Amino acid sequence: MITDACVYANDSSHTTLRRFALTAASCGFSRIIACDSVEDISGYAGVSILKGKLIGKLSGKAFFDAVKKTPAGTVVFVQVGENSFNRTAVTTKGVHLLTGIADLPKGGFDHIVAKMAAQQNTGVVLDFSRIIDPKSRRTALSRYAEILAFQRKYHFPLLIASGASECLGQRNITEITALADLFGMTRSEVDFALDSLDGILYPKKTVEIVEDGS
Amino acid sequence: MSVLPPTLRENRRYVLFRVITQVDPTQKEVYRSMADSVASLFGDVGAAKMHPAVVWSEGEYAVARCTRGHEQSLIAALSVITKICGEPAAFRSIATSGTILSLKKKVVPEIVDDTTYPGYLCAGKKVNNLSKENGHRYLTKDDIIKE
Repeated sequence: MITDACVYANDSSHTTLRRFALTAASCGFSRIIACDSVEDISGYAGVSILKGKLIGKLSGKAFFDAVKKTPAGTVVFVQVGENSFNRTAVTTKGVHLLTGIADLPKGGFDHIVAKMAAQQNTGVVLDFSRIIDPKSRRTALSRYAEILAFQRKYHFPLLIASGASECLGQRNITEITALADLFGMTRSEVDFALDSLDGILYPKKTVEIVEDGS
Repeated sequence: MSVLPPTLRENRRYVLFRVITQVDPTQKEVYRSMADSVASLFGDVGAAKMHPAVVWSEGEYAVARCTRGHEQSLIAALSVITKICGEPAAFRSIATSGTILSLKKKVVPEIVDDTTYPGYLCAGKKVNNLSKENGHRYLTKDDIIKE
């Protein structure tokens, strides 16, 4: 399923969750993740809507509690921070995605975090609203190019999010491909990134041999 | 001035896009937004190579022209536009072609029905609330029924 990994349909947004879904359908998406949404809708206009929870930079116990308290079926996003925090976040059970890569401090995401993310099957979200915003564009493009280089080597899941807080911020597949081309992401990589959420939420398990008791 | 033979002419591509905004911008305003965006994203050198122009505009649809091979860059430049005439906007790329005629065939005007819900601008399932107090709100018909 082609997924927009994050839209913000919260109280401050002037767009309803249904309108987000309707726009996503017209943009060619079949699923969206609504972060911190107040409305509880599972689908609209043929687009399925998943709930997401964004956990900020919290210290030690507060972070683990926030992950544990998240209800089942919710996609857990963690805002990246210092290198040590990112290593903890990647290895914590229940964390699905790392976000906020454009705001990453220097050396925040190194080859060890990349390797850990690949082992733990934790995804990294590329927020395209940071490319659209001219203030953060340069940083975002250089960070995303770094992340892409790590992804090509370590093969951790990469996801694409519009990061829109209004329906005008959502982009269609053609536009996403064009924007991804700015930092060197190929069309096949974009297609793979748009379709990689299922691999994170429902990872392939090794075959279990169940012995017959009798 | 004599006309250049076809083999010496620059090859061009055309991109059809939709301007989603609450105002009704002119072709010149659409061009200015596009030119600013191209210059900020690719610089003057990139803009000179791309040679962008708006060649046709009607209602919320417009056709932009660029040099062949720069279509992807033009679409990227169009997708980073967030404002036109000071109002929030989105330039949504629809199709790319070698002729303007084939793009015009792809234009499907949305039928606006503003009589059903006073104060709202309805087009299909999409509804835009234009009241000044709340600012612009983007809803669906199902949201209005719920309200």
